Amino acid sequence: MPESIEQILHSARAAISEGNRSQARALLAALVRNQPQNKEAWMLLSEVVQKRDQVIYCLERALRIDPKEPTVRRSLELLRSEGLSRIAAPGRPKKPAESRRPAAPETFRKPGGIEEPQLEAKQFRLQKVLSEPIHKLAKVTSRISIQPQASRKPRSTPITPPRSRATRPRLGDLAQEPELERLQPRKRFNWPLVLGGIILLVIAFLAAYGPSLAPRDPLEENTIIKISEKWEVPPFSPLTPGFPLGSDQFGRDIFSRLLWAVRPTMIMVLIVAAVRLVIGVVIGLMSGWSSGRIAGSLDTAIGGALSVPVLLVALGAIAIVGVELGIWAFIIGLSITGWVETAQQVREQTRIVKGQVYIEAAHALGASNRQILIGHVLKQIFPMTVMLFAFEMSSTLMTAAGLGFLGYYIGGDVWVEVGDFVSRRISGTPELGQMLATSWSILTKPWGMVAVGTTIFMTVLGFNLVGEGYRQSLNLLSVRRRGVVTQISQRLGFWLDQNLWYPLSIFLGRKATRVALAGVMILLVGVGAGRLFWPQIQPILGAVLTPETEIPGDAGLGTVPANDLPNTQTPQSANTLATIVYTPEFSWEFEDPSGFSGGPVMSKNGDVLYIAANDGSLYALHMDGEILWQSQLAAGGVGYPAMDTAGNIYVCDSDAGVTALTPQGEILWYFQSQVASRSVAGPVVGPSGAIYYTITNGSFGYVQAVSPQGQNLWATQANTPGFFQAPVVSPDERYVFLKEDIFDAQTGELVKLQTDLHVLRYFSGQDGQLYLLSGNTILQWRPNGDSVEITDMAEWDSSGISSQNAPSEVGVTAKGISWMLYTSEGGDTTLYWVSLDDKYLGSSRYKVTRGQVIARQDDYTTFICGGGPMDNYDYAECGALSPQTQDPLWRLPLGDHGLVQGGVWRDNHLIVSTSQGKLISIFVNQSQSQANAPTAAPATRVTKPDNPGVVWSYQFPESVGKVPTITKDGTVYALGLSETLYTLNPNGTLQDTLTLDPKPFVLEDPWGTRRIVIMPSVLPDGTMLVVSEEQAVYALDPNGALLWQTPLEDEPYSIPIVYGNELIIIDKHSRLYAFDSHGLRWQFRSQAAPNTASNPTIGPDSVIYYTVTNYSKGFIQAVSPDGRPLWTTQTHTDSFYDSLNLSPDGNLLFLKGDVFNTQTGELLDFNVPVPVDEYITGQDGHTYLRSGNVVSEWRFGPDGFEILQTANWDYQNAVNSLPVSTIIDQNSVIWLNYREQIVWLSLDGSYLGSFTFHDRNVVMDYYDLANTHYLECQIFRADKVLECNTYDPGESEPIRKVTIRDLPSFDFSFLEADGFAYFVSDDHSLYKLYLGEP
Amino acid sequence: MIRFIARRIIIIPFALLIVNFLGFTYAHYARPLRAARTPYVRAEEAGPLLPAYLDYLETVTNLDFGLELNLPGSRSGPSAMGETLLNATKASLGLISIALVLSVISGLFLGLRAVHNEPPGVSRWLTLVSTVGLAMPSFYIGSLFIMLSVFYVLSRGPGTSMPLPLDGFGWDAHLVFPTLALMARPTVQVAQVTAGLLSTELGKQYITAARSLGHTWRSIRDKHAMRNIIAPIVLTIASMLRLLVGELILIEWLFRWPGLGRLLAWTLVPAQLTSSSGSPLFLNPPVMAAVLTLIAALFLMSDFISAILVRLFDPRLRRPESESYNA
Repeated sequence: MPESIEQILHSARAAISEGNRSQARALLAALVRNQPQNKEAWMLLSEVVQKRDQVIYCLERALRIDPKEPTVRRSLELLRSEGLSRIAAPGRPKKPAESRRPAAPETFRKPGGIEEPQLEAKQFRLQKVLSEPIHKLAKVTSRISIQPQASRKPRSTPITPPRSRATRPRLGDLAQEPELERLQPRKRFNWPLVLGGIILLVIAFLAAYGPSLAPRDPLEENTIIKISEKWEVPPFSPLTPGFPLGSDQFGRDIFSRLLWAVRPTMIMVLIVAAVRLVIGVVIGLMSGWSSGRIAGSLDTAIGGALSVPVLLVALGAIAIVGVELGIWAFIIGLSITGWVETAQQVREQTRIVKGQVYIEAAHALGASNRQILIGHVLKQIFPMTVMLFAFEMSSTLMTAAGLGFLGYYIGGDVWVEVGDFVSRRISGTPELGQMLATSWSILTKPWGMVAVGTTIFMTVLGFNLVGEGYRQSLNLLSVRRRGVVTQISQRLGFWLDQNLWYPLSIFLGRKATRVALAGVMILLVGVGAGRLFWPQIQPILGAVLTPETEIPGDAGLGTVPANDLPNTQTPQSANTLATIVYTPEFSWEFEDPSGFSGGPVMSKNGDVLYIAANDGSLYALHMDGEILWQSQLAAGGVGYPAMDTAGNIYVCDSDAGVTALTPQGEILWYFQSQVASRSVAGPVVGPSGAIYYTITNGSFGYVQAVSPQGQNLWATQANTPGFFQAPVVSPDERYVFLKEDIFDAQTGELVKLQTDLHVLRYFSGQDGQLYLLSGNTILQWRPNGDSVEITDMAEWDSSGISSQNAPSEVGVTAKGISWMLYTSEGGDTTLYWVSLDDKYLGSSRYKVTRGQVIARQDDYTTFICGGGPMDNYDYAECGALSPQTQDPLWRLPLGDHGLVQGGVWRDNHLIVSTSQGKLISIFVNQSQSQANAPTAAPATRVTKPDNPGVVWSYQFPESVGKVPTITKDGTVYALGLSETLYTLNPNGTLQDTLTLDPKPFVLEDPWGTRRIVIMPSVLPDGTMLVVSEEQAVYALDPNGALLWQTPLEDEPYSIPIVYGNELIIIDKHSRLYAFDSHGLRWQFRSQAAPNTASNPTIGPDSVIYYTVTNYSKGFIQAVSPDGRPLWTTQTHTDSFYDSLNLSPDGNLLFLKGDVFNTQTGELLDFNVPVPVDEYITGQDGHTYLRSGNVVSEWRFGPDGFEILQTANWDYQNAVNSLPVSTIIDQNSVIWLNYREQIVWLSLDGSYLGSFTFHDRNVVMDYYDLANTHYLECQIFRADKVLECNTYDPGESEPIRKVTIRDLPSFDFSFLEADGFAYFVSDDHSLYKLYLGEP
Repeated sequence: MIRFIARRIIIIPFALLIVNFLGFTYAHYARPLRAARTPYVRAEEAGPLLPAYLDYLETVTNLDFGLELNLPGSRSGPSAMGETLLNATKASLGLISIALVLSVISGLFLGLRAVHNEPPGVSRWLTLVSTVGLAMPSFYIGSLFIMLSVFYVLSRGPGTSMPLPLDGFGWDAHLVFPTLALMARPTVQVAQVTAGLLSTELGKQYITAARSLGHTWRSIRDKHAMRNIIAPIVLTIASMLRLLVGELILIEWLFRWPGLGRLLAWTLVPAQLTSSSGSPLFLNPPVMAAVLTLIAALFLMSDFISAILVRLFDPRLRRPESESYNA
């Protein structure tokens, strides 16, 4: 404000006296808009306005400010009475139809109209001045005559309707008076406010009642549904019955999810917007009010915040804070710079107010800054807040949506325990951001994205419209104080003044004068309210967040081998320990044929072992394996025995009973639980002597508590589904834990302790503290009232661990060191040690599956036993792991005696029991030596192309898939974990790398047990085609540039086939696609049946055959090379999921026992005299059939079907099963593969020889059909040796042996022709081996 | 004026250096912090900051940054970071300038179309368009484009190729979708501001005077009114850039445009949401510092240019500068 009020008034008076009324009017109009409470200005304005009703209005305003002003009152009365008829009369004939005024919209289109306010923030600046040409004005005031008037209101009232309507401004006049129109506001339909209000009402309704309206459970998954005879798999399309908006990829109803999602999102947005508003108002107030350095620095802050995109800052902040913090992450992220627009507007307004005279007057009257801020400034700003809040809501939602799109959404993710070993991270919370984040997965099925995007768009639109509407109504605020909102806000302001601010200011006294305090208070109140209501909000969010129903169907995903564990190098690597050599050896064995139910336990003084067997025997043994006594339980033993302080032994049995015995083997008492039928694990004894054990009736688990005297204490049903383990008693015996369930040890009640964590299990450490496991972190806790209070946690970087794994076993040692064991069915076993003061002590990795901790030594050395490869449940081995070395200190195979059940460690003896009834004692000898350090040096890489050995090796920078693609010319394609495709030249050098984005599609078998990545296919011209996870095919030129992209209509069914210049892809719903380097050539869908049943087979004439099924019948579909249907025939056999075979000439197609004519599609009936198990195409170009163990050659000649020769051999004495596969090689030798052995026959039936697989360690084998050899290799991991033997038909001994030494450890390998083998080692190196010409 | 320019030119390198340092510091400390909170990021202890930063600065001087980037979606394989950054800057700058120019042109066009001369005012349709436009998140518009093209292809049956490429990089048809999605909000905002300012300007007295002197509306608009509002429009355009950079992250992410926004998203978006393993770029200090510096340079340059332009267009802003110079 450059001039003071007085100056303006002065110049206005001067202008009036000079006769320059328009200038005076301009000055005064501007003044009253800033200073609606300035009586003087209103009175002066009344002298210069042109219309009578304008005069009345000005006078009324003046009168309202000072009701006692006599001149004004008199003038007004005069004007209202007589002046009315005299002045208004001439106007009347001009506009007889004034009552139609609201129906004439074109006159409303003024700068002050709806469009005007879009000048953001500018409406507060009041730059406009009256710019009307000077009119000759009648001296309206001189014509005033007196007549009493009841109404004090300036405009129409019910009391004088006709008059007041008549006194309104004329339409024509107003058109020339744009500025004064503002002084004479009319009722204007505020459509943005109404429209926005309607939208917001709908949104509010959805937020409040959406969840109860949802037709389905938002978390309910549907793997398949049937719609009028057709089976549909998710994602279902919109308008599918029951799924109005379709479903997501888990088959969850998007409509219901949307209804649920609005509430948490709106609550989040509401809280964040409120915080932003509060911060913005406080900063804006301070910046606008203060001066000097503070103002300067605040201005800089506002300027700085304005210049950075909010999304960028929010991303950065949430990245560092982590979404795990929940709403706080969003409050922080979105509020760092999000307040700036509010602050800017508030600052402008504050500055305008600050320049007013009444502020000066207030200062002069001795009001403190605080009083002025509250009494004047805040009062002026308060009406703005509704508008600001609406815009704040819309921009918060917009940014939150952007964040959600990038994958940051509130609620984060949920850990779901799929199995005992496996947890899987899933995002189930129906929340708009989350729905956005996960909806964009399939290119051709974008309805999730569209539905969520539209909801967000509508909500933002609603808030924008409401803000816009308020802005319009606010524009007139300074002169029109009659709007409902204005009146309410005025009254509210007055009420606040009277009842809150004034008493508050008295209460606070004069000391609290700082504006900052007010700001801090507002901030505190805002944040506090959020915090206060959080418990109310949280259950709403929480109800949605609970992952209980969220267990995904494809549990197999979880069994990802932990191959990507970090190669964390501990500082003191290996060498310090390498001086000690451990040599484990067997010392004694004890056997019980029924098998042991659990491990042995050791008596207090460590000289007696107790162990229970499956048949109910309880043994007491000396530490040297000598049996002391044997006792018989009531039923089969279950789990470990337990011991109390007196040395009494407690054993559970399979009848849900528990037997107590003296150390001498006499039975003290027997208790049998009545609530369930069997025990699942051994008992535990609490400090009081009470015994707790877990029992089950098959579907539910219970914890049974028994008194030391054998009386029933309590039995409570457990909530946890993972109850197959013994309970844990807390050190003070207050609680009993079973996984994530807590029982009160006295009453048996299930205790519900509140916690924000997703607790996987509660347990107690050996240090006597309580712990819990959440995700990959162990936290120390104590009960605090009815909630869990976290006192410490072992923080560590578990990033290298697959996010789908949770530790299978955890514990805390007496010194507060936590350990976690990760293991899986197919992968290996890794043990991590992390101290509670967040030091990562190390990890150790042991290549066994299903590893379990058997015993521990005080120096953290841990003894682990585990099993063999995937399906071998007989093999077991044990080893010792130390945090100082990455590999086991020692390891010892136990042989095929079944899984290890448990064990004890004492005096360098590890005594373990197995499921097949062996109790084995291993003596571990430790000697000092430099040689044979257990940590192996990296394998030497020798290049010996002429001799058997490693041809080359290439180390990839990251984990790569175990099965690289190798083309015929020896080029290798390997896909890394970061979706990088590495191309290696045939000589083992890196040719190229290419990052695939989007990443390739992963095929899953229906049981979810295997996942196969569809590797990119390279066409002969070098174009690379990738089937992406978005169900699209895209092409890259040899330089990696994207050529084109085409969506597939459904998921691929199998690995695509490169045929000629084309890539043939088959999808799950009987569609074929043929792509070449220019894009999709054709697409075909079988009309015979909706589902694909087999991979396509391509005949010599390029015809494609594949099987389709409607689940009950199978059909063969033949498709011409250009994508036209040729024929369809129903199969006779039920094994239509088998692969198709073509006869060598391509005229016949075989599917198990069916034969089809490839030209006509006819199912041929040969009247074969024997039952045909399988038709075989020989490598020698002849056709064969197998009936049982007998193979015959046949042909389809001019005389019809004809058996040429049958290889009759004496199979009764040689084999006792049917062959699993049959091959006839180029030399017409028949290979019958009987899983355990291969039998070679010649066509005349003579037995050429056989080879028996006696060892399960065969890692690769190869039927060298060209040379009629069989090559098999075994790996001896401990010796790092690969041994390969070549067998020849007719020879019982291998004709050739190759041994390759010094290989690194690896899992999986494969052989190629010409004697080359490849494998990927554990350190991500690809080795090419040459095994020699057979 | 010269003094003003000189002062700005001196300030810019310092500001960039500060941004660079802050970006580096942020990522340097955020990485382990973040790793401690979540089980997904592999991170080392945060070493002392200054030596690490100095090491980094040394690599900057060689322009290779001593780092090879394996940017997902980029051309084959790891490339030197300098080169990657250069390409990303080119890609982003190109996209953003095309979008900015087009949206300014279309925004001005719309805004001018919406303004009435007599009486001065703004058409309602512009309010409608701008309210809807401002409520549409850019990625939503982008995903609508993608959906429409996919449905087009699926409806036309096999063999149809995409009318326009959905993603990837290229100075051709690849530009269409990202540009259109980026343009929506700036266009309506420019249109709104232009229309609002112009209608206010047309209500002023000198316009009436010019009209009474017999000037056509066209000449009044072009010669007088537009000149008076050009300065605030330039400022609006500069602030549009800020909006565009924010949107750039989303749009480049959606359309896989290998620019700075996507690079920044790779450094800020946690890996497990985007790929099976970790993104090597997540909170990578050198990359973060470099990308932020480049984005800051973009801001500062646009601010600088707009400040000069505003001064050129609006003589009122020049005066105090020259006065102080004279004094």
